[in-house]
Amino acid sequence: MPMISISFGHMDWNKTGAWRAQRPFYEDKTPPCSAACPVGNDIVAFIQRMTEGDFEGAWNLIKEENPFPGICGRVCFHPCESKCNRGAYDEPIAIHALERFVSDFASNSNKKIKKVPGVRKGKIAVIGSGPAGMSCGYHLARLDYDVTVFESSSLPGGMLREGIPSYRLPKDVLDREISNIAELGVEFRTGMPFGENLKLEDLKNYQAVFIATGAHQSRGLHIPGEGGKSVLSGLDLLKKINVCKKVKLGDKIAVIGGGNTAIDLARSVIRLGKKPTILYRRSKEEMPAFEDEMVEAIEEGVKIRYLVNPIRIQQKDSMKRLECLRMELGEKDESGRRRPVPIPNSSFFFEAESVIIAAGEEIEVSFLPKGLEKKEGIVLTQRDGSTGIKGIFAGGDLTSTQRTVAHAIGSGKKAALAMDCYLKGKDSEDALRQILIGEGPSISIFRHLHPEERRMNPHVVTFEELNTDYFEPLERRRESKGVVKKRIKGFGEVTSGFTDGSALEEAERCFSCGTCNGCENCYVFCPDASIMKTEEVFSRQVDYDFCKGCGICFSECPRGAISLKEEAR
Amino acid sequence: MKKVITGNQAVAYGVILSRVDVISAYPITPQTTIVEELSELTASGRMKTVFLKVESEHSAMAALIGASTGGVRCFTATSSHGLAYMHEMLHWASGARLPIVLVNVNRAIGPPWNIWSDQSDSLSQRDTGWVQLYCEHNQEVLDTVLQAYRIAESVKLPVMVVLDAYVLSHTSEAVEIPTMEEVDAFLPPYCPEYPIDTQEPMAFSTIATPDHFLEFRYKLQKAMEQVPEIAKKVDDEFKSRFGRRYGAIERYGKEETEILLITSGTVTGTSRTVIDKLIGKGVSVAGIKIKRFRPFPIEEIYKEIKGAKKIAVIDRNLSAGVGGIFAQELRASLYSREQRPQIFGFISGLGGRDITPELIEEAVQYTVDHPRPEEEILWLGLKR
Repeated sequence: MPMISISFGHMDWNKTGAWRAQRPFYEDKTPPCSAACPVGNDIVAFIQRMTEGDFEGAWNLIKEENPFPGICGRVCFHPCESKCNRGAYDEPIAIHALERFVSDFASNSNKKIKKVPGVRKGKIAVIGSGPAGMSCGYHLARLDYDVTVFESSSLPGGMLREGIPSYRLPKDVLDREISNIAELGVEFRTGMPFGENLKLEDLKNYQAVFIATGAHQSRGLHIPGEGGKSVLSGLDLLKKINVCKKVKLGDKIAVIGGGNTAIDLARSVIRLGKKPTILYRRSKEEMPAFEDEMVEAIEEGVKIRYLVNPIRIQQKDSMKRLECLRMELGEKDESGRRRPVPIPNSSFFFEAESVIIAAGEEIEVSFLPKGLEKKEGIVLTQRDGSTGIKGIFAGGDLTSTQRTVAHAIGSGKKAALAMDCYLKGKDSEDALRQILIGEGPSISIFRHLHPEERRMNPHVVTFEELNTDYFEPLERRRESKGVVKKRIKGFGEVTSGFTDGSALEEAERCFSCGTCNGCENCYVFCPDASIMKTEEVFSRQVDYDFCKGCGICFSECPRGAISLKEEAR
Repeated sequence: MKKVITGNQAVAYGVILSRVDVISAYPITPQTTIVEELSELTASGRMKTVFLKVESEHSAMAALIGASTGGVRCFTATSSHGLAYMHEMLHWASGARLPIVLVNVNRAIGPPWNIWSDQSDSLSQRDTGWVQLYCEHNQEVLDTVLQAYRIAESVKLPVMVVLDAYVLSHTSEAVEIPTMEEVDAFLPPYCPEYPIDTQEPMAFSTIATPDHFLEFRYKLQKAMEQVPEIAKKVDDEFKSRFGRRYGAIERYGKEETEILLITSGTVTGTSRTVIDKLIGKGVSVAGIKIKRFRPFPIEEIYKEIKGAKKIAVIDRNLSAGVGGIFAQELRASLYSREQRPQIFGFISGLGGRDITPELIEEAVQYTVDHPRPEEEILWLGLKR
């Protein structure tokens, strides 16, 4: 008789799985970051690669969806971070900084995208080399099309080059990401303004056309004196500064407007030694400019006066004299913001040597093909970018009031897929629906190209669905910024990227919502040893012969990557 | 190398030197600093140990039962309510014959709420099938942890090492710390009786029907009965390697005295000075320190009676309704013997009250003055 009650036989014959009333199974779900990303980046997947130290793998994953990680990592307003579940726990993951890190890593180690060999399926013209046009061209080239991108300026980039100051987006970062697209075989033809050197009739050899000419016309204030000397159009001035950095301006400058252009202008002229004051007719809360930009602008000495509306611009000696009204906030308007209402008898004068009007941008319609439907300042398209005219697609700022780089990239990508469907005679709406991230509107080209991989339930993982017992509060890593004194002396980049160490630490903060990262909590907790692991390899499989359906794996999964369903009998 | 360390640090050193593979513990005053020290050593990588954080003492012992069955050396530490909470698993560990070592820092069990020393916690577990070893000083604490693994792994029984709260746990003394090489030579790696192989599954602790259960308990008792001999061998080897020996009991003072004073834990240290003083006054008294409570060392004690007429036992514990547990065990085990001295059962120092030299002297004097105890329980220092 042995020392203890022990059976040298085993219990494998006892298939306890027969007791099961509910079945656990591994099922990746949509993380809120990706669902919020207008570009459709697979954020959780690329961060997971980073935690494995595989920065190149992370870069490859980003490139599946987005040709511009270096650009987005710097200038995107990162809605992914606002939706990050970690935000409800301590602070969201610094996704933008990780994306930038991966891009800088790829650049430093000279990683290039390889041209896809294979027969080209057709020729497509893209008009406009901004983020929408280039994104469209990039994805079309990956779908085996010959693409020519036409650009009116002498260099490609559109708003990325002309509208974003280099202290936010250095030109070499832009050039390197454009050259990556060119490496794919996309042809850029610059100095070809649409409607002038290039007409729609010239594009007969192309089977489809994507128009992404942007919104480049400064909106006027429609007040007396607006056309006078030393009253400048915001976007035009910004372009000049961005391209040649030399402009003639007075010392004291009034910038009128509250958007990103106004902030970019104020920060740019400060770098030219001027003293800008932003005049905005609503309050801080309503300002459409991104919060981070505003913070940096104020750090650098930009003055902002809220609830002030100019009604007349006059000349007084060498100065411009702005007659302004003080405003207060009234009822909400159609944009959901409180409408500014003038306070009676509140007029006052604000003097400046130059006045810059940055009250928004509008699209130019003169050169657009006849027959394009327009409404409220944009060209109307279906969600796949198709217009009423066969073979003509449109995207970017031209077709949207959400004028961000990320939205433009996303619209170019969607149009690329739609044009592929159009040329193959397939239903693009159907194709889009297959690859929506969550409920959309963003899509995943990766899933279009690899339908069997990275499948996930469209359900977006909520904070409540996570088991946060397995996480510890950890401070968000921050990118370092140059000191203000040095910053305002030139147009050098303000923000420095992560070091390898802080990038890894930040990546490891990611909850990996909805995506199994092999933490093996399920394996550890399963009381029936029914999570299969052979040769130290975690299989993400349940042994249904023995799983009793207790659901512990489901409830102990920190990230909601296991689902539970009632067992069919 | 000598270091000035607390009793709890001495425990930690013992655990490090024993190359423990798995630690699972839940903090409780006054044990906490043991766990703190070990978790920091593990986290810093200085100690190659798996440290399992658990939500209770019950789980701590359950986790070690799993790990020990898996064939690795295990450790936990607790006190008072924590030990009580482990109770069910304590039975399991001995029934499954797992050589787990547990350090219990003696603390009273509430209510009334109390964090100070008495032996009610460990003695409440006297019937769980664990070997119990009580320590007098910090050197003994470290040495006993090392010996505990040798004993446990030889007889396949769990061992509880017990030390007094604060008087040892939080008080520093000079302790000789053996080197890793010396301990490696003394304590070989653990070899489980039934190594686990995932390719050849076995079922542990299966049901034993009335046809067999009695026999398993017989084997458990037989293992306990082997302890005195094995513990002596281990102690002898320890003496030859490290120059220190503790025995199951230790006699202090002259041979063949009228009175024996039985103590355990740190009270022994105090009683040594009292005995010296009383011998000087001509009292015929010697001290007996009981180190090993389970299995109860009746053979060793009986040899020391040598015609003594009276035995005074100071118990820092109370089994309500009976009295002091050491006294009770002694009475029960002497009943069938030829020599049966009068047993004077004193209760003192509950809930951490100091057992002063004056109280010990009072106990001995009472024993001298009375042919037999006037009461079953003699309370020392009781405020009436």
